[in-house]
Order: sequence, then C-alpha cells, then structure tokens
Amino acid sequence: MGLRVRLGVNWGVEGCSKRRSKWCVLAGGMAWMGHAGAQQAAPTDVQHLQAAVDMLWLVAAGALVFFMQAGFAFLESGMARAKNTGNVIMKNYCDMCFGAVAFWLVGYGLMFGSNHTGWLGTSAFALHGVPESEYGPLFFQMMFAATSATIVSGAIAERTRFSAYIIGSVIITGLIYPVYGAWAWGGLYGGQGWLKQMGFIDFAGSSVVHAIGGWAALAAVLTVGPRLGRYGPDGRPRQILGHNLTLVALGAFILWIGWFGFNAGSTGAATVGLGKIALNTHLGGAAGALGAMAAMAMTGRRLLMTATLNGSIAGLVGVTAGCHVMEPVFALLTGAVAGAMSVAAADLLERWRIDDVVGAVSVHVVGGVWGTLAAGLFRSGDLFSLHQLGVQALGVLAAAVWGFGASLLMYWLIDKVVPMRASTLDEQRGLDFTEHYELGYPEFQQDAVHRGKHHG
Amino acid sequence: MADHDPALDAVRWALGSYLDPHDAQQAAALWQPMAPGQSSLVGLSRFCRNVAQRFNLQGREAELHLHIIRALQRQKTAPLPELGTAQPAGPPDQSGPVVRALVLAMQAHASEALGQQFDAVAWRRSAVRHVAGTRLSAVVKAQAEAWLMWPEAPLEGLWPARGAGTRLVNAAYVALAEWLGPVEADACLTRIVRELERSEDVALRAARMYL
Repeated sequence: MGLRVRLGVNWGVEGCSKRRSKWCVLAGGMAWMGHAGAQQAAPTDVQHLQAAVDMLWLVAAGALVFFMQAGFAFLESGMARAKNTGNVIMKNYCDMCFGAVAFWLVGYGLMFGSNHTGWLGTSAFALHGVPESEYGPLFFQMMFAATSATIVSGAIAERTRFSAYIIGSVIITGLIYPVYGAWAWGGLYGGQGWLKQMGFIDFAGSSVVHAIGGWAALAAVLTVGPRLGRYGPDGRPRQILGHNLTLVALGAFILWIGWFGFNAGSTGAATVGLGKIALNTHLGGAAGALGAMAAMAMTGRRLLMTATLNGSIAGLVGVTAGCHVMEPVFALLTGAVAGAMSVAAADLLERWRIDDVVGAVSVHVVGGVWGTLAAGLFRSGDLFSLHQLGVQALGVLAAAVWGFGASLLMYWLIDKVVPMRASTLDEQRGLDFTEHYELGYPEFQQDAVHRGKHHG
Repeated sequence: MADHDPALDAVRWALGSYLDPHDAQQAAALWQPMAPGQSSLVGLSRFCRNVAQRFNLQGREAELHLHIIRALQRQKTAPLPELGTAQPAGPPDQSGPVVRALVLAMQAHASEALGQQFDAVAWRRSAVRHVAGTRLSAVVKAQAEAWLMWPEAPLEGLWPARGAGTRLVNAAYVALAEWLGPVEADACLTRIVRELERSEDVALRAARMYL
C-alpha cells in the first residue's frame, strides 16, 4: 500500500523494501511526519492511523521491556541472600534511572546517530526539539540499554560497592553498549554500522544487548572475585542458596512476558509479522527450559528449578537474534540448544571458580553467542549459509572483544578509584545495611550479623 | 652486636617481670638474634616455650609471649620504663573480654561443626591471615595476632566497637566463612550473639555492638 511512499528516506534497514520490519515503518513515519514531510504528498487518514498504531505498539512494547527490569530485580534478589535483597533491587532500579539519562544524553547519539564511518553515531545526542515521531525509538531503545547494563548486577551481587557498580552501569549504557550497537544497528539518521553493512543479523539483540551485557558481567565478576566463603580452603565450591525461589520464578515469568515486547517490539511497527516473532520467542523460551532439563536429566542430576528457569531465559536470549527470520522449528531448536548449553556453561564456570550469582554469563553470553550464530544458520530461505555464518561469527567475535575488553578495562579503572569490592565487614553485615541502611526483611534481619538499626 | 639488638632489650625487659635478674640474664641468652630484615616475632613462640620449660614458667608461655610483644611495640614509641615502675591504672576496659568471647565462640562453633576435621592451629593461622588484611594499625595487628596464636591468654589492649574490636571480630567471621561457608557462618554468629546477649556477665551482653 502506501508503505513505499511513506518510506521516502532510505533508512538502510534490512527488508525495508520488501516488508515492514525493524524500524522501517517508524522511520517512514518519521519521514512524513517530520523530516521529509514537505517534499512528500500529505499523508492520508489511513497513513496517520497506521503511524499512530505503530507508535502505540512501540511505546507499549517499550513499557513491556521496562517491566523486564522488575523481572531482573525479582530474579536476582531471590537468588541473593536475604541480607542483600534491597541492594540488588536498588541496583536494578538505578540501572534504569541512571541509564535513562546516560542513554538520552550520549548513548542514543553514539548508537543511532548519523553513522557515516560505520563505527559511531555523531548526532542525536540529548534529543530534543525534534519531530514527535523521533522520540518513540529513543524511548524504546532506552529500555534496551538499561537491560544490557542490568545483566551485570546479578552476576556480582552480594559483594560489590553500590557506587562502583553505578559508575560501571552508566558507562555501559552510555558507551560500551551503544558503540557495539552502532556497529550492528547504527545509522537511523544516516549511514550504517560496519557489521550491518556486511549483513549481520541480530534482530532484537542476542549479541547487541545480551552478549554485551554478559561479557560485561564476566569482566565484573573477574574484577570483584568470588563471595566470601564461596569456595572452601581446598578450593571446592560451596552453594550459597538464594533466599526466595518464589521471587526467582516470578522474576523469570516477568522476564518472559517482557520478552514479547523485547522481540516483537523490535519490528518498530504493528505488522502481521508480529505473530511469528512472538511465537518464535515463546517457543525459544519453552524449548530453553526443556533443553536445560534434558541436560540435567542426561547428566543424572535432579531437575533444579533455578537451572530450568535459567534455561528458558537462555532460550529467549538465543532466539532473540533470529526470531524474525526463522521458522518455528528452528526457533525451537535454537532455544533448546541454548538452554542445554546454559547448564553446561554454569558447570564450567563453577569449575573455574567464577562466582556468578545468578548465572548471567552462562545465560546471556552463551545464549547470545549461540543465538547470533543460529540466526545465520537457520535463516528461512538461506539455511546453513556459510557466508552468513561467517558474518555472524565476526559479529560474535566483535562483541566478545569489545564487550569483554572494554568492560574489563573499565572495571579495572573503576577499581583503582572506587574499590569495586565491598569490605569483608560489609559482606558480613549485608549490603542492605551497609550501603542503604535499610533492611529487606526487618522482622528477621534486625538480629542478624550486624549491629542492627537500633544501635545506630 | 647482640647487645644493641632492640628485640633483645624488649625480651630482657619482659623477662624481668617473671625472673630474678640472674635467671632473666640466662633466659635472655637463649634468644636468637634475628637476621637483618627478619621479623622479631619469628621464633618468639619457640623461645617462650623454651624459657618456660627451663625456668619453671609452664602455663605462662602465652602471657610471656604477649608481654614481649607489648614490649616490642612500646619500644617503637618510647624507651622501656625501669622494671618495677607501676603503670597508671585506668578504668577497666570491657572491650577485650567481649571480643575475646566472640572470637573464641566462633572457634568453638567451627570446632563443633567440623569435628575431627577441625585443626585449631590452622584455624588460628587463618584468623591471623585475615587480621593481617584488615585496616588495623601495625601495633594493634601484632597484638591481635599474638593473642590469636595464644587465645588462652587474656586479650589485652583496647578493642572498641566500631574500631579494632569490630575488625577483629570480622576477621574471625571471615575465617569462619572460609571454613564453614558464609551461610553457616552467618547462622553461627547470629546464634553466638544471641547467646552472649543472654549471658550472666553484663559486659558480654554488649556483643552486638561489635558487629
């Protein structure tokens, strides 16, 4: 229909000329609402309505992605001990608050601004005074940025200074995430990222959001070290159980719901393709849980709830890159493999004495890497293309080098200025008490291993 | 050269409180001068055991050990006073007994939890290692380390809550977390504090202040 008229500007988004996909309609909407409006025919009522519906979906999907923060907060705080729950929640909450400002000020411009070198955006910083249609993508992407940053919080829960964590979170949202994003998705205001030019497929961010967040989490975990007593004097790991598995499960459910906004919202438009994307997302999550359970069963272990939930999240991460180009059977396969791999990766990290409280690395790095490769392998109409697989592998490698390298350098520098690691006294007392002077569960935390609020 | 060894002066001064001048002189002769750069504390425990056996001071090794440590510390800031000079007595400080009770209770819990696997010497070394990592002054660290190696002796010195006392308790907690795991360590310390809060000794009821 009038789509091509509306897409008066070449936004360089894959599939734009064939169908309405990621950012196409939105970009088109921006064109006729603002930038190019003067040069084009006046929009019809139907076009107005379509643009409004697209924006409605984008904003609703953005709100769903925002809700994922609650999912992360519940899941991570449930996996932490009672004396650190408030701190975990604060970190997740503040990721969004600080991240929103950092991404609006700097991140969005670096990621989506005019990108003629292929490496970095150079416009759209602190976006204001622009046509109304341009604010929707910023709102939506702001939620993505915070999601990437918040992946770190669970991995280094229970032993990290709040101030050091927040500095890291702001830098991830304002710099580390947007730089890689500029390579893979960049160029909403002109130009294209170098990975995008090569045909890199990462629809909603298996690499851009999840692997980058996961690599940053690994760098953070290596910087702060394991929790007190996590490994015995002989080096054998000890389990430190989370204080509330119900919260963990609720968090996983919320994340799953949010993922429909995450993936289906990445179309940037209300299209008929949403159904397939939502279905693939759901199948990926379900198969992830099944894959994790199968991995546990095959290795003769009991079916852990936490590992099952992590498996489903790994499946969701995995299917995120290619949910728009895969047939459902491949979405299922992608999710199942991601789920099984998350179990194996968690074992490996344990063996290497890497104390990742929530399994962020095994879920987001492993799921992200596999999902990005799977998007190249299982692309409809071009199955098992070695060329595409090569491009995907390059994208994965770039995410690893940049995400891990930049984060490791960042945390090393932060550690020099504000020690990342909380003191042993803080760990004893719990970060709720020492960082925030509030107790997550005052009824039974008042008498725990700190002097208590009534002693000042 | 040995006459100018400041450690030997401290040893002589400390021995003077236990032995007559002749025996003190003989006991001091057992002190092995340290190699340059070596800590005076090296071999001190062996020296104290040796002196106790030869000069009938069995059972007072820990006390002697602590006395020498304190002499070594005092020596760094001022000359040692003449023997027999009484030190002004201040109000009795209760922090030592409370901190001592907390740390010893943690050790007892570790011993109870681990049974045959518990190694008291290794436990003490572990606690000493964690004391070394705290932000206590060198003098206080040495005092704590000396006491941890001889925990039967009283914990002398000032161990205020929110200060050295809290840090020493935390060092023992870290050792406990390392030995039993952090969840068990939390449960132990919570139980210990509750027990001390119900203690008949009024001074020990302030245990929570040291967390």
